[in-house]
Amino acid sequence: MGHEWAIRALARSVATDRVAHAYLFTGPHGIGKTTLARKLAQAWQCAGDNRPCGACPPCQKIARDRHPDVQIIEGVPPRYDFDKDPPPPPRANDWERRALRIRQIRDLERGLARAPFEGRWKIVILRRFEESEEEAANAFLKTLEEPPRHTRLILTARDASLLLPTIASRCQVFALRPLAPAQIERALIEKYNAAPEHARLLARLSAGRLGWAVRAHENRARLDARNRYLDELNVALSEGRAERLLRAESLAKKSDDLPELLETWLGWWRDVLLIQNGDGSRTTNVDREDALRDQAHRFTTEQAQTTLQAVRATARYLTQNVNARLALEVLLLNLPGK
Amino acid sequence: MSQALYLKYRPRTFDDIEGQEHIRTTLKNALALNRIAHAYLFTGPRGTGKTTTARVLAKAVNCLSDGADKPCNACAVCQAINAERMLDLIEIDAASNRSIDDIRALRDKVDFRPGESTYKVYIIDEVHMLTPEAFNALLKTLEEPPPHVIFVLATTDPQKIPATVISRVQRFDFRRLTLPEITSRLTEIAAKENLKVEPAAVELIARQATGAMRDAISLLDQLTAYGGDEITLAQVQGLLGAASNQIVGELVARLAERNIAQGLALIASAVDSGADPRQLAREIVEYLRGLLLIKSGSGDALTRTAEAQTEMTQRAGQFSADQLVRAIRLFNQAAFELRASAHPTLPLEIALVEATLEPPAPSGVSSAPRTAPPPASPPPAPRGSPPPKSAMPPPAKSAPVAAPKENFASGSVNAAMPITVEIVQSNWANVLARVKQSNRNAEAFLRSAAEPIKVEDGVIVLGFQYQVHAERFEKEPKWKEVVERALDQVFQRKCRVKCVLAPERAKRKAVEQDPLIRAAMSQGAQITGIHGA
Amino acid sequence: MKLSCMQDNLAKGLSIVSRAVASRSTLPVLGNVLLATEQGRLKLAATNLEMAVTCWIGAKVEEEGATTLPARVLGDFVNSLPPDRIEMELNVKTQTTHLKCARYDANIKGIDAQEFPIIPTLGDGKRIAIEPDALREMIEQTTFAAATDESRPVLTGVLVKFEKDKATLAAADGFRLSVRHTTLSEPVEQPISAIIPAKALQEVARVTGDQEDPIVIAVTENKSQVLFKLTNTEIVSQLIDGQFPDFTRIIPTSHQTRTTVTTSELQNAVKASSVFAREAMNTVRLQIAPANEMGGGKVTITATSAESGDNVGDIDATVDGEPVEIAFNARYLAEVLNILRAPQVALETASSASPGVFRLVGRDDFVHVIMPMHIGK
Repeated sequence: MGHEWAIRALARSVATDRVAHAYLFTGPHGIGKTTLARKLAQAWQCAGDNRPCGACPPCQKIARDRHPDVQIIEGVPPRYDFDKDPPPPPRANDWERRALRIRQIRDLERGLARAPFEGRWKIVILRRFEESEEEAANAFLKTLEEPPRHTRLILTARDASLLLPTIASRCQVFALRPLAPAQIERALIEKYNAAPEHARLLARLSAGRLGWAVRAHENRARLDARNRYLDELNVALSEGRAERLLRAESLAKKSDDLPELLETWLGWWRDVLLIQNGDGSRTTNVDREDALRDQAHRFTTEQAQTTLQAVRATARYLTQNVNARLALEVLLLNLPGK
Repeated sequence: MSQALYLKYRPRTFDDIEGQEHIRTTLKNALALNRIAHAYLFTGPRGTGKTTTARVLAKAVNCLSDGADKPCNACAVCQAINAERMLDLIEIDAASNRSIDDIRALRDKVDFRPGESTYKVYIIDEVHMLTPEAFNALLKTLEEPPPHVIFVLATTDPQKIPATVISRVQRFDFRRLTLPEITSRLTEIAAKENLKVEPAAVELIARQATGAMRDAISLLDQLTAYGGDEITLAQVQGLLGAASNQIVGELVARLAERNIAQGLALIASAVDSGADPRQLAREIVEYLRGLLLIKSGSGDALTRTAEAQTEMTQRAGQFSADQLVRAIRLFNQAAFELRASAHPTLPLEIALVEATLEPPAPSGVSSAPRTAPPPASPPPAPRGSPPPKSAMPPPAKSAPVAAPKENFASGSVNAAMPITVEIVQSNWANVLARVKQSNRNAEAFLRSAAEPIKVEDGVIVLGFQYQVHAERFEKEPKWKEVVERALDQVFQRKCRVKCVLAPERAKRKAVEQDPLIRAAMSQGAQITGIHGA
Repeated sequence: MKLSCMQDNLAKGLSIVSRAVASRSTLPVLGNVLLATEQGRLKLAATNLEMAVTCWIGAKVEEEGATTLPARVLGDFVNSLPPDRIEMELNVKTQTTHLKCARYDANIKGIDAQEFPIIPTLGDGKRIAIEPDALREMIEQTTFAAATDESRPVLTGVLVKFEKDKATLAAADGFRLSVRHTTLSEPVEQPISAIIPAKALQEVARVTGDQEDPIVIAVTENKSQVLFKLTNTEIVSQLIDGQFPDFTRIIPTSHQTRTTVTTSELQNAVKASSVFAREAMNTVRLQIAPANEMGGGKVTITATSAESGDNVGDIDATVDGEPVEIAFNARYLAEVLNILRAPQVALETASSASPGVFRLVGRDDFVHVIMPMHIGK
């Protein structure tokens, strides 16, 4: 679904057997990098005719991440002990920080030296390679340049520039781009039985990331959280200083939610800015158009733009370990108001 | 599986190596005269041939052929090295084997004689990553290398190599490959592979590679899988997500007209038709930089058609130099933020809006560029050289955010000089860094809540935007102490601080100044060598 | 699946296959043992994707079937049972297996056997038969010279070659090389060569202890795996991909001096010297002197440590050729002397800078080469 240009190129490489030994798929979280990587792995291991057929045992094992020769590797939580701790659970959210460690690369390389067990190739999908520690990325360079004969590597990352340049230059890079909202909307309706209104909203909110939209569709928690964050914002706009300070304090307590909260707010102020400049057709928060229009009216473009900057600055402070409460106090006091 | 082109066409003799004539000649002469050094240092950007040359050298010193042209690539040793099964060629990545124990393990092994060749050759890649202790251990070996060992140290960052090491090696500096060197190699490979590549496509590939051969060949390789045996400019653009020059030009025109609505619509349509937002931001920066160069009279240094030149000259007239510098900075920042932005176009949109709006009123506090004369134009790019990534930031380098480091380095912090608010502001990052060493909370608090706004009778005045924060700071006596101590150290005198409420200034700091520092830091990452010196 | 078998058979079978269980893997099924009925027997199998061990034990099969059970739980439970008949029944729906033995009962939850990797079988690959004792000795005399660090994966393996009626095992780590040959009772039609992980070979040596019949070796068609077939056990190992160094180039073709000594005497002298060598890059020096008017030939073994002092040891030797002084790593010397299983050993040297070659006196099926140390100053 989507990324037709990349799929066409990859399908062609499979058909003509002009396959490279290392690929890098880049793009925002949830845009479909790992999905595409699995599909490519299936095409390589598939035992059927129309590769990937999706039905043969190798295809099915890969779909369930159970194929002995298709390994998915990603970073581990801080202070993870490889010898004692159980395999780390899936990430709580997109912002959870993990690191790909040198130990993982060394283990991987050991395995790669051996021939595939039951498949045609030994395939490794290294997710979020931008999270690799510098030593790990460097240790991987040699393998990435000339991996053993039967090896195929697929890396994913948010952006090639977040990696060592020597990593990217050893891979064939496919920069996956956001899908059009209409495409996501259609997919949600046709493949995931979403109600049209709901699909429209999710498609807009997803910012071109089908994976995000599907997860939000399957798990209402995301949308609930987004509604809560917008309510917080709209209430704050009508509050005075003292109330805003209290609000900052309460928001700061849920520090895990803050990145998503700020992202939601960014999307909101972008919408305000777009409406102010006559481009209401591309807004994302389509379910709250009235409030958007009202604020577009009430505030100036400068105010919207200053607020956007302030929200961005706050998000940055949080990644720099600035006290969350303090950062939020500054942000909330900076919001335009009565 | 077809072999990657960059491996297939990896040079196997000195003469195969593109560019770097000075190095080839010197090494060949040394071989002919049998004056082989025991330690070499190869420095230069990635993809310029350091490791490749080291491998060719390893073959040449061990080559069994009687002829003068070594390596022969035919004898048992040459073949073993080409097949990567020679025991006496050892490649070590110093970035992941950087500790003293790693180097000790190496030292324990160098005394073993080679088993199948004359010289054991150790290639140590990214050698600048070694810890100081590891460097010391390595130094001992470099001082008295066993006669059967040759070291080749390779690095992209020679500034980080201790002088004691440099003085014991023969150093060769590899330079970035020029655009013609890359295009000629690409054309050669394309011919050997029976690929038809449009000259304009070759040039775009070469430009994108910014002087690194491997990047260029990789890209060509990818295009063969993508487009088959005929490669067009459109395909390269499609793969790179590059927008056509026309869209970029139109966007800049909207910027000149201050038409936000149409500008936003253009961004949307470019992205909808497959342009990569980040690539688009970078292209806008390039275009604006071109305008700035035209404006400063060095526009003819760029290669472009007469038609494009006329259009750009006309467009350059629609901007002031200040506006251009500001816009370049904003779009550069957008390109940086797009790397990790969840929203695919937001930073680009904000940059457009902000570049269109009037700049915030000058506060008179900082040495902002609006009151200063337009910054000196960046040096004209040498004709025909690719626009390396590092060539993009020059306008920003002259921006005020880069100033603190320069001031500090040029010795403006002199115990004899009177202290001014400008000096405090430009060294504020240093002060915060010192505060952080003793109290992280205090540093985090100061960074987002306060800034130095004036100096009164030698007392440094910190401005807070909000009363609550000023009070909190006053309540923590240790914090003030920590800050004063940091100031003492930085300014080499006894300093005192005082807190006042200064809503407007702190606000400006929160929303404007900091992102610029971030943007500058992103570029500064390429010049950290200067910082470390 | 429904069957019964004897507790001691099952316990023994589990202990054999458990060596290949992967305790920590992203694929949970690798922590399990496969149990499957096969031609009236119970097949047990485990794999860590580097190696797979399969073993068949006698059983009374009432209903065909297969499942996988956690290796630790199953092994520990079976070991705690009395030596009696165990009855086993799988509930396919819940993938739970019921075990009953004497007055003990257990229900063990498993994973569908479909999830278990497909372990390669012998197929049509070329088969080579070899005596277990000969194979074990070859493994012992080569694997110790394989590299233990993974920077060059090829060197962690042993090159195994079959050509006509000759079998060769060779291992090298960049500083030493060990090569052992043997003659096959039946020549192979086509030469075969493969790099087998040293660890897998050591495992083969371990389980062949009570094997009497020849072991059958086969390399799969796609050259991915090698299979060792014993009477009731099969070991499959993934092969290491890559090019093994051309080891014949490392073995010197000529020498200046040939020194023959009693293995145990040299062993003792090296042991004494290594006390001091430990602090001096593990270097011991061998001064080799032919017989002269002063006396018979001898080897003087010395080590010097700046901190602890030094030592000298003399042993008698038969020396043909020039006197020579050569330095070796003490550990490498000790390790090769340890696996010789021969009373006499010969050392061939050309100069202090050329590799030293160890051979067995009167035999030409073993060669060990050690790179000398650079003697500084």
